[in-house]
Amino acid sequence: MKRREFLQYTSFALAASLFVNVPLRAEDDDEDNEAIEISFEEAYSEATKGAKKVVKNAKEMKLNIPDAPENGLVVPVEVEIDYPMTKEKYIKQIVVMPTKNKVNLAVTANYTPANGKAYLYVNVKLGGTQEVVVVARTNDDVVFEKRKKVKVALGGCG
Amino acid sequence: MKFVWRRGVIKPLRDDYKTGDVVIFQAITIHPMDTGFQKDKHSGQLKPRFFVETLDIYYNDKKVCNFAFEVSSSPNPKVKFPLKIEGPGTVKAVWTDNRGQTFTKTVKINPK
Repeated sequence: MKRREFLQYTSFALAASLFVNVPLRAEDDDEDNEAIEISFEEAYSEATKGAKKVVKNAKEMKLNIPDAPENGLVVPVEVEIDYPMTKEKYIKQIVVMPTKNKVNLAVTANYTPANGKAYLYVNVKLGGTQEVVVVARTNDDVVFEKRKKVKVALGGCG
Repeated sequence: MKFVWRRGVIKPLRDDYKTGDVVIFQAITIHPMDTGFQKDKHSGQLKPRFFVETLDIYYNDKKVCNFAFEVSSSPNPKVKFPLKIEGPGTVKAVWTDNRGQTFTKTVKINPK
């Protein structure tokens, strides 16, 4: 192959690859990958929407969160609710919410009477010292709420 | 970097259960749970949001409970939940992430 031919071919190939690659990248960026912030008010109003009654600092709930976890990236949150789990009366939803993260919603658990007990263990990221709010909703829309302040020295959110 | 989803476990935390007992189950999977706010250390660009959206639990093909995660859950999301044993069968966990990939694991239940 002569030098000139080689140059022509390679330049054509380069240009073609450029034209092919650009639309592909645009498609990749089109996905729903952008960061979305959720404020605590938004998450809390969603969790307590349509509730008949909100019981603050409920006696039925037991929270087990360490006072000062070593690392904010993995903070174990354990919830136990003293409530029957029968077909007439059961806990249908448990929501775990941090208050000062960028996304103030960690997990929403939807339960049925087949669970037999109202208990949840989940690991949460905390970006700094803040309160953790746990909300439990019964099937007849009574909401139990409990908060705990957690001291975090090393935040887990970048 | 491409992520291949290949590890996850669902298991009861006790072995000596009988029919009618309430047993705590644990479900864990290996997943990065990128928030979309962090920057990649090497390229300096923002890492796209990439996380597990839902975990559905089926007991003998009947949906028992469901967990909806957000990016404030820790990487490698772990949950423990109770389940009432109603006889032999299988418990299935199905994880789905925000790119539409799914990952399934099952465990057999043999009450004593």
